[in-house]
Amino acid sequence: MITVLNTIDTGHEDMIHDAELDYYGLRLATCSSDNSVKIYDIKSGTQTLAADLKGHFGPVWQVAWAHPKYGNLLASCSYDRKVIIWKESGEWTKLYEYTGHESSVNSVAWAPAEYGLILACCSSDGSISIITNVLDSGNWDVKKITGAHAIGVNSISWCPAISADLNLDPLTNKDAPKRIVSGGCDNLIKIWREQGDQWVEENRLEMHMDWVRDVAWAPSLGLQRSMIASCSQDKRVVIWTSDDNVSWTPTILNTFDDVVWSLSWSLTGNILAVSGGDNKVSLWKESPDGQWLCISEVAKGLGQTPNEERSTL
Amino acid sequence: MPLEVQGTFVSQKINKIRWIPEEYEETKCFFTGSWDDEFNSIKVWTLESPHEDEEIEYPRALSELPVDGDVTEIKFTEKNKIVVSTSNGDVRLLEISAYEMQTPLREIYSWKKLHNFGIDPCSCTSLDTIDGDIVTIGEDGNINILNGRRGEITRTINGADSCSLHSVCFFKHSEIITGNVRGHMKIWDLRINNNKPAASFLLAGDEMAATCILNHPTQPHIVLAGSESGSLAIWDLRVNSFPTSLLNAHAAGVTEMHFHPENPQKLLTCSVSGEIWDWNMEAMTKSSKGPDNQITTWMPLEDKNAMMVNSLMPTLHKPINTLHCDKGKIICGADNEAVYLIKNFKY
Amino acid sequence: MNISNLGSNSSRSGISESQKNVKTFILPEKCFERYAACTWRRGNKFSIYPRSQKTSSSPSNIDNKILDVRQEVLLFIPILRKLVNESNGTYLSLQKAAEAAKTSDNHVEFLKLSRQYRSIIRVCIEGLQEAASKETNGIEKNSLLSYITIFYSIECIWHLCEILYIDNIPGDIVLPYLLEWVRFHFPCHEQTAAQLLEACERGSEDHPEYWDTVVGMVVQGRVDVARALLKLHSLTDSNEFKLLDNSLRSMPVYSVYGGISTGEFTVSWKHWQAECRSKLGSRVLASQPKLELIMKLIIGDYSAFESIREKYTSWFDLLGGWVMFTAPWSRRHALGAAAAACAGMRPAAGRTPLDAMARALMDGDLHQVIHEIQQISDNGWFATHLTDILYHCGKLEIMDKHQTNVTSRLRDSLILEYGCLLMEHPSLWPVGLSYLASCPPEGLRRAELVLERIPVQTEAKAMRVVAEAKKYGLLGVVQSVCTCMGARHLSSGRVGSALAWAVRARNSALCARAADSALRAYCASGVLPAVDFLLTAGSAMLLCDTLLFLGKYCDFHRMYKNREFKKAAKLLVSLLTSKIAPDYFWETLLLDTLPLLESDEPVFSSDDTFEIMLCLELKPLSLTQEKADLLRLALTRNLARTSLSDVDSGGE
Repeated sequence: MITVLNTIDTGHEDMIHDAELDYYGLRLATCSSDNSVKIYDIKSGTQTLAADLKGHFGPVWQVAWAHPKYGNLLASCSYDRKVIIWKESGEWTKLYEYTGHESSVNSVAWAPAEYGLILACCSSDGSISIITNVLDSGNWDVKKITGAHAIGVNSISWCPAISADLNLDPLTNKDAPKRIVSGGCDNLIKIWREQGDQWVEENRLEMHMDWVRDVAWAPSLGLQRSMIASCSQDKRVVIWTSDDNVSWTPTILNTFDDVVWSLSWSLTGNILAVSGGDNKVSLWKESPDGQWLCISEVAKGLGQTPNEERSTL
Repeated sequence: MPLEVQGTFVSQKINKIRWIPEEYEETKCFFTGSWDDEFNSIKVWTLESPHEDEEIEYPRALSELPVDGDVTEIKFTEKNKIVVSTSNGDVRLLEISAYEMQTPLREIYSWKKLHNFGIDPCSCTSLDTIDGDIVTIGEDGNINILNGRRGEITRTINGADSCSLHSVCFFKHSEIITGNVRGHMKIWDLRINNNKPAASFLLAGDEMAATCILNHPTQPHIVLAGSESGSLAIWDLRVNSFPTSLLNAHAAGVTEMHFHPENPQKLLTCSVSGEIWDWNMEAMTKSSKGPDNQITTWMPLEDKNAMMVNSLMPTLHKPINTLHCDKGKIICGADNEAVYLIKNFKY
Repeated sequence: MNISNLGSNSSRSGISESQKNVKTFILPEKCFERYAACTWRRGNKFSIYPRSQKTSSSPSNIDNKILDVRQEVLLFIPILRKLVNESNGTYLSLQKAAEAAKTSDNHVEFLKLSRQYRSIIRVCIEGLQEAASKETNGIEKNSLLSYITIFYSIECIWHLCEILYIDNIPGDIVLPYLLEWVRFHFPCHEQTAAQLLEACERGSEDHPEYWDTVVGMVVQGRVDVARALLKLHSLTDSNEFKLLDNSLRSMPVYSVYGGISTGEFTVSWKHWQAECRSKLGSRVLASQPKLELIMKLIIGDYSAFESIREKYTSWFDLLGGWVMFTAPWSRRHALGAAAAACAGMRPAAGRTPLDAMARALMDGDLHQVIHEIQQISDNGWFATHLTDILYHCGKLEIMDKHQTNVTSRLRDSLILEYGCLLMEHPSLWPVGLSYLASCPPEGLRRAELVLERIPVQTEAKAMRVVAEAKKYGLLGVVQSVCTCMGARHLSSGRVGSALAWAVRARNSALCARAADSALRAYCASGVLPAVDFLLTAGSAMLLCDTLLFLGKYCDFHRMYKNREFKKAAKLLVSLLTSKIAPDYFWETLLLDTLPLLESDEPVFSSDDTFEIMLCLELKPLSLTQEKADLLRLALTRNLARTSLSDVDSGGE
């Protein structure tokens, strides 16, 4: 059985484009077409608006929380071509503003905390930027991959860094190079690897027949297997697996009735939430024998009261 | 009679447990304070046999007082009054009816957000009492002295420590000793108003917290501290400012220590590693009588032998946070959401 | 790129099959206008929000609500938390026993632990019963009653499993154990029998349940009780009664230790049954249909069993009797057929989950058993613990469709699920952790992910999370939790605590940030924070240069206050020349030389004075012209003083 614990009234005056919970699941950040980013404290069933961040001059597409070891940092990206990094110390202020893109910035993602304070973002101008906080000076160093995807880059996701204590090869190697996966309007998924001070294209995954809308690298569970989920306007979700991060094997998870917009892996990487134009969120899980099964679906109601369900878990 | 151990699962992690003293009959009621859950509370329990013909007694809850945050300490100021600290920074003085144990606890005084980081919450980590006076400490590094009879804050030492304080002990009427997150111990003479410690020293120098401090009931200059590392330090404050003895005791943090009220040669300790031990202090003191028959040094490190320590219960898989003894009966509370009653303890 | 195994066919069929099990949750209509998306919290909690891919042309009045959703977990109710905690103890003991079993047979220990599990379930059922009896709210009471049903079934199946797979039954003759199981879980007529026997009155047949009780005792294999009851019938001295009593009395009972072989026993038993059959054939009992029925039952007459099936709620009641009177020498593997026979006695009876589990168990299809018990709404408690014990007993061998052994994978996946479920509970997380830790490496990796994210509100909690992480060697978590604590203290301006936690984390970057903030605070206010920390930090100072500098600078203050001017001066010069001083701190350092330069006794040697002059000229921008001139003057004067009689550069 599932329960709706809490309903948060966001008070956004326009469409919401993203909502992200912080590291501990205690705070929720949302962003909207009303140009604002809002932060809510959602401790023990109650919610309070903790901050209303105004700094963008266009719809804000995505937000991302940094690891708390760097303090409370939130990155947001917008149609106004900017990425803003917000910092809380007492109150929320702008820590850094990145204006290196020539078009809408569609996605932001912090690198695994082990690598340091690094943010990747991608834009409709077809490029990807990797912004690194330089420890000694506190300055931000930018590397740019131009022409990453023709027409535009829609989504990016980092390969998890695997902690050194589980000493398994080859994915567990602490010195494993940093990797990013991106999906774009050229229907392609690309994997980028840091080599020296350059980012190089390591792989391109061809499978989708329309714009790739979201890519999500699954959290690593210490198994010698990497997994990426991708979704596209071709209504398909594909799971890509690899045991060396170099050669990838696709499996079609499902073909949906409508465009699939976004994907989200649960923390321990075993459940994938898929959502799209069919107005449903479906949860998918891999069975021990390797099959992907839909375990439940959350759909818009037809006049039911909040706690009613069609069936029970 | 052999030791008899009986566990009862209570569906909350117990951080503090205290017998409620009885004057004329055998003690059978106790307090528990829970921690590390969405909702925490102070409960009053009584031991009773569910069926008249049975010998075994089980705890049954008589009353429950919900609290905000974790219960971090419960101590008596008088026979029927307890002072309770919680992790939201509050301190409360509560009274239990001597005749009707099931009546809800009555609040006499409360000090809201006594410890705080401005508007941010700050844990009141521990407290100690002496003759109705209360000393509280917190993560804010402050020390407060409260008068439990009049409900006043008589003294505050702001910034007594630049790190968080985790343990405190009134070892004389006007002298306290505090321990911080790094095992930095400070002695404060409350008669002096300069807000500077009278002395300070390190527990072990391993950057581990001093989790509990206790003074010897009959020799107040002897002070013991338990460490987050599981070791036990003993000082003679007349002689030394560094531990005269540092014992590698438990496998993980010492959570609470008590001398048996009827026999100060018996020390009881429990730990994060799930152990509850009784120590024969006699063996420790005897071995170290100096030539003038004064106890100069306590047991040196190497001489720790197994004979001094008894385990009262098989090791639990989860931490034991608290214990309390009354004559031959010991109760302890643990993170496996159970309380254990140990009977027939020889003291 | 390999796309050959895309296998759209197989995945399609998988999906259509899976579609049957999909549960759909309907959310309130007004919560979102168009698209929905999901963001995860820890565990099985997530939020659903209205996600729009595009901007709307005109900001309409949208109901922008976010829903916090969580799976309801039965095990988290207080009564069942006792079960969770207590069984965790047994589980951990079992893992130890399993470790020991690698080198020696530890069978007795496994049986002991299996019984321990069952007694925990018993206690849990009693707790639920007590709560149900006190509950006044109808809905609550009903759910308690349904939990009782769940745990009854669990106990029943566990017991059967213990008999069939965990216990070592002498000679593999299951009958005595099976009878015990039936009597324990399906007690019927026991009270009536006891009452009748206690009253001990001739003519007991007047009791309305007399015959049901006698028959009940026969099918439960309590032949002695049945005989005693028959003695209370007013006609007990009649020939018919004597005849039946004789048959019951002379029934051979097999005992492994009886000294006769199964073969010999079978012969004598068959002989006995043939005798009974001939008595029946002679119709001597025709006048006493009840006695005739009993006689039919003891010769294992199917239709006789069928005829009494109606009187029992399940076929389990009859199973013991059926085995006893058809094939008392049955071994485990023969039970499947017996169960099928009994289940078939009333085909119309619906198949309950309990039936399905028991049938699968007796058929020896453990894969099916586990599949069935996974359907129980106990959040996987039973499936996890039973699979684990069967796995350790070496009784579980599950093959997938490619005939690879997936037993340990199945066990691990159940434990991982169960562990993760508990880890999301605010209090039960250490219990969950201990499950995850028992399935490395994946369990530890998952533990790491979740443990780092446990909200830590107090230092006491942080220390406990760290202690747990250390226990399982998750040093990354230790560092991460300590670093986060330090970062939090630092952002609130608590330098001492920030340093203490940065040192615990051995995190030099955080140490540097904290030390830097302390130095800046000193520049701004003239008060050095965390002096008590700095004077006792010891080797921790070596974690980073800024902290080392801060510590030494603090030491300089201490010496100065103690009027150890020469030592202080020496230290100050070494700080100036160390090249680890941050730029913004030069002014402070240089100005600190002034009072020392002007002390009555010279404390800087001429060499030191030259060093300071050099520093001053190297960093011309750190002082205002006025201050620089003042310092130059003081330096020159000191140089003049020391040129006559230099300060002993060896210090005191």
